[in-house]
Amino acid sequence: MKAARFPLPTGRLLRFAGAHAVLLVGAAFMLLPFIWMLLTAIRAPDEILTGGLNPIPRSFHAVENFSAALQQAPLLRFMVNGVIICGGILIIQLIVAIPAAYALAKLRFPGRGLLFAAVIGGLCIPIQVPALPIYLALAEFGLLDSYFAMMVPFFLSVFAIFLFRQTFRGFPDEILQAARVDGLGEFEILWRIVVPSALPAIAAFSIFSIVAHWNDLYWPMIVIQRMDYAPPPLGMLFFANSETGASYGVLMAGATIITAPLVLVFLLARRRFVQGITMTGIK
Amino acid sequence: MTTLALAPAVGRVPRRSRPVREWLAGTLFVVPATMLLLAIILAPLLCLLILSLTDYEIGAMQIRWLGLGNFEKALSDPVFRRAMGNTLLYVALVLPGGVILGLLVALLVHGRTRSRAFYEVAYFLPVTATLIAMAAVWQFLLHPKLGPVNGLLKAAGFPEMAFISEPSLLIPTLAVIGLWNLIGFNMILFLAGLTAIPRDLYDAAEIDGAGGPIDRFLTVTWPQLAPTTMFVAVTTSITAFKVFDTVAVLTRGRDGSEVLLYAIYLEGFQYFKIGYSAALTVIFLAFMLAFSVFQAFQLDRRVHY
Amino acid sequence: MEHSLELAQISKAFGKTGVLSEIDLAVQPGEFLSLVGPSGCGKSTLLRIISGLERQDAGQVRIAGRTVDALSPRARNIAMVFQNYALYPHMSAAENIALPLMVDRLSLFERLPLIRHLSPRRKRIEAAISGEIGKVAEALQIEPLLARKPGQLSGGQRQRVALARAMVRQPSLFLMDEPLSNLDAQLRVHMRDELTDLHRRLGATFIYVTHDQIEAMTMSTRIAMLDGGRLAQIGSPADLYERPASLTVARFIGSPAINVLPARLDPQGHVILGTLPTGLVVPDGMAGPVSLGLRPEHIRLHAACDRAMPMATLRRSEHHGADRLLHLDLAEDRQTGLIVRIPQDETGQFQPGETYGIGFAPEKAHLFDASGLRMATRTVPARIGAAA
Repeated sequence: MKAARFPLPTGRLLRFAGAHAVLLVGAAFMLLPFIWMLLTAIRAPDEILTGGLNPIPRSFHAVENFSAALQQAPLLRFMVNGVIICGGILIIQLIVAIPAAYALAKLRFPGRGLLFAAVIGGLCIPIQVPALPIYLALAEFGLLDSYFAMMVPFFLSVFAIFLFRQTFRGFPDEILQAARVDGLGEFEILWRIVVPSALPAIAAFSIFSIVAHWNDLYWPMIVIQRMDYAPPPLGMLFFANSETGASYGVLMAGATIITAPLVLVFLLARRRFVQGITMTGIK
Repeated sequence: MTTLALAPAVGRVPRRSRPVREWLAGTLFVVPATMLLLAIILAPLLCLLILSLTDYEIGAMQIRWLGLGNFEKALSDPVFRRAMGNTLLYVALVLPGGVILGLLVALLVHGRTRSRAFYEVAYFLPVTATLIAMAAVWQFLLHPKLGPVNGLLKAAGFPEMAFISEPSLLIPTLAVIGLWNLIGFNMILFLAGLTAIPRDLYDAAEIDGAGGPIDRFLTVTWPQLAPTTMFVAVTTSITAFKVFDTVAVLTRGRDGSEVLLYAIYLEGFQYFKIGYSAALTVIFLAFMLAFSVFQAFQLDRRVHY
Repeated sequence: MEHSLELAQISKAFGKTGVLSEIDLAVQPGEFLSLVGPSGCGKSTLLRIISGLERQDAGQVRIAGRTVDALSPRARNIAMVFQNYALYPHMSAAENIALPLMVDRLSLFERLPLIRHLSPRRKRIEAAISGEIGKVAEALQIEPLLARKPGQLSGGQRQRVALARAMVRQPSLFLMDEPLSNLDAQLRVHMRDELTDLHRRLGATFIYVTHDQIEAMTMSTRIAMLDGGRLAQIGSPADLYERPASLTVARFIGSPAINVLPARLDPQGHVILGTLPTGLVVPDGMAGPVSLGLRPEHIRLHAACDRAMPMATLRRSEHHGADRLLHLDLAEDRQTGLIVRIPQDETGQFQPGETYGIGFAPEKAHLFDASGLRMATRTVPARIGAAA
């Protein structure tokens, strides 16, 4: 319950109205591109070309625009690529990072300090830094234009290691000791006891990872030339440049299709998203 | 060891004592991560540093050692200097805007109860939306003839603005789109910071007479948010410094919109001047490290309690 | 004389849950009134309503004869000490203490960063304020701590700084919300002492919320006990201990807790424990079940019982310094445990496992009806265990 606060109701009313006024203007700015995108996607070409401000389309042209968008570029293919890439990256990131994070958090072994220092250092290095040498290596082995090329730089997420290490550190040592006394091996302890307790952190990281790689353009732009492998952003780039016949209706329909999956997931799992952001705090 | 001494009593002798077991498990657990760390971060980093000192180009017959030649060239290269200047201008626009607007929105949203979910969604939507697709939408919104923004300007009696063709307007336009993309993210971080402020402090401020909005902000909110603000400022700087997607869609780095990452991309992956691009990447890395060091330094000296 | 604080018919609900209903309370100047009760009884909400941090749904608050319902906390001339002290972590102790005075005497512009340097009178006012801080700090012996930030202070030191911040405004009313609950046991006893001392020196009115009945008993001039949002009883510590108005009050006050034995009234109004008359009579009482409350120190155990009295078996005997607590089980009803307090030197007579007769002086017993309210009694000669 929010407490009723003084001073007088008129002051409160004024503040309430002021806050909403500012927020609504801001929200309109944030939502305008989405609204205009949807409106344009269902407009007829002649109406778009007159450049009117009329928000309500005069004729309903959605079917034509969306089917044209799907015909001109393999948009669904881009989505499937996106799912494959994000899924592949996430699974390997988790498989690699979870044991490493557990070892860094709870086990003593030689080189632990050094490895942790390297992880911390790795946090400051974005993909654009190792991109050039990795590109050269992939080219050398003829691996460009493949799912593998798109995923490989992201197999190791130092951020995942860091985040999971912080989470695992909070796990009580007594429980681990008890499990060891009960005869469980370290791998079983990790898998059956520690991981289930860290599910919120894992979910948060998963959201972070999926959003980042679904939306990433830089790396796919470098290693992918053939459209068959393009993830959604790169596909969108191809699509925007290809001859859409200056038909903005079709372009907006395409943009709607590309943005829809993440936006829908966000609308369905808003709480998780927000938690994920606050927990990871890194974009 | 106690384990060893006690073990026979329970009728089971562990094969190894605990430190050795731990030692083995720990090493085993970090093998994949360590190998990947070497393969996709450390080795490329080393390669990058070496390449940046050479004139390597794909297809070139021989490689020459240039020492710091690439860096000297960069400093006198007008394209690079424009890219650097534009990037810094972009950061200078997005950083204060992103922090102040993110904080403002968070403060206003924090007080809402029933409408909070709506505003959270509205402001956060641009963060989740694929920026490339939305950049195409912005391109259309800002279209001189067909876009509603110029339509509105004309209706209000202003002249038509060439947002994405007039060179001097490019960076500000990109910055507005960057802010649009970023504010929701910062808002969420600030909201988390606001939620963590103990309610007691606001009560105490009210009792002490500092209950007005400005007093509350200066006495409690702002000092309590200082660590969050620092964090938001650094992440915003890093994000802004990495501006690339909108440039790739809207302008393809044409006159007036050269930015650092796009320059690196062009030199390395379009012109294949690997050595030179590597040198630019090293400069980029230096900025990233500077931001991170600054943040680590700040994190060290926060915390009041 | 004007009341320092007067509450009339205060009610409050959060949504559909009623928290307080129709609280009436009047506090004399200079009183130390404790608001006690189990958690969730509404005592903190009541304090927040007095302070103005929360607003009542119905009823009136008057402070020093003035109705303050429309006033902000600042205008009510009160000070409050919070459970977690609520010191501003980024300000030094001195700045924390100064804040209420700064807000009082400087305008908003004179307090804004940078702009404040434009004010010609600011320096003079700040000098006066720091003089007053010095006096308060001296009174609480925290002068060496003034430059430190709350993070560099121990719990007890923070407590004193919070008190200083409250004192510096010289309010007519001090409100304290469980201020000792975050201190360790030893420090708590010490601070209890200091607070009572401070109350005597200042002569101000204290309203003190606590869930710890020992704090309330040792410090207050009067105690108001809340139960389920209602005022269960108000009176001196001795009143509450010796004449609890209800079973809830009787159980809450006193440690170890009062023994409650099931009993009944016969049609003549005699209180019967088991099958035996107790010597207690309720004039024109209705026959039916009642509860008999006996403080641990008011029960006497008899080794040789020459006549009918309830029997109990000694289960355990605990050393408590000067006293000893005996835990017994009633013979006919093993569910009901009984605690008896005896002086240490009488210990030798009682052995665990043995069975003893239970006796008490009827005038020391408390009787409660089926709804838990106190019943008026008188005594008649036929008494359990008294003839021995």
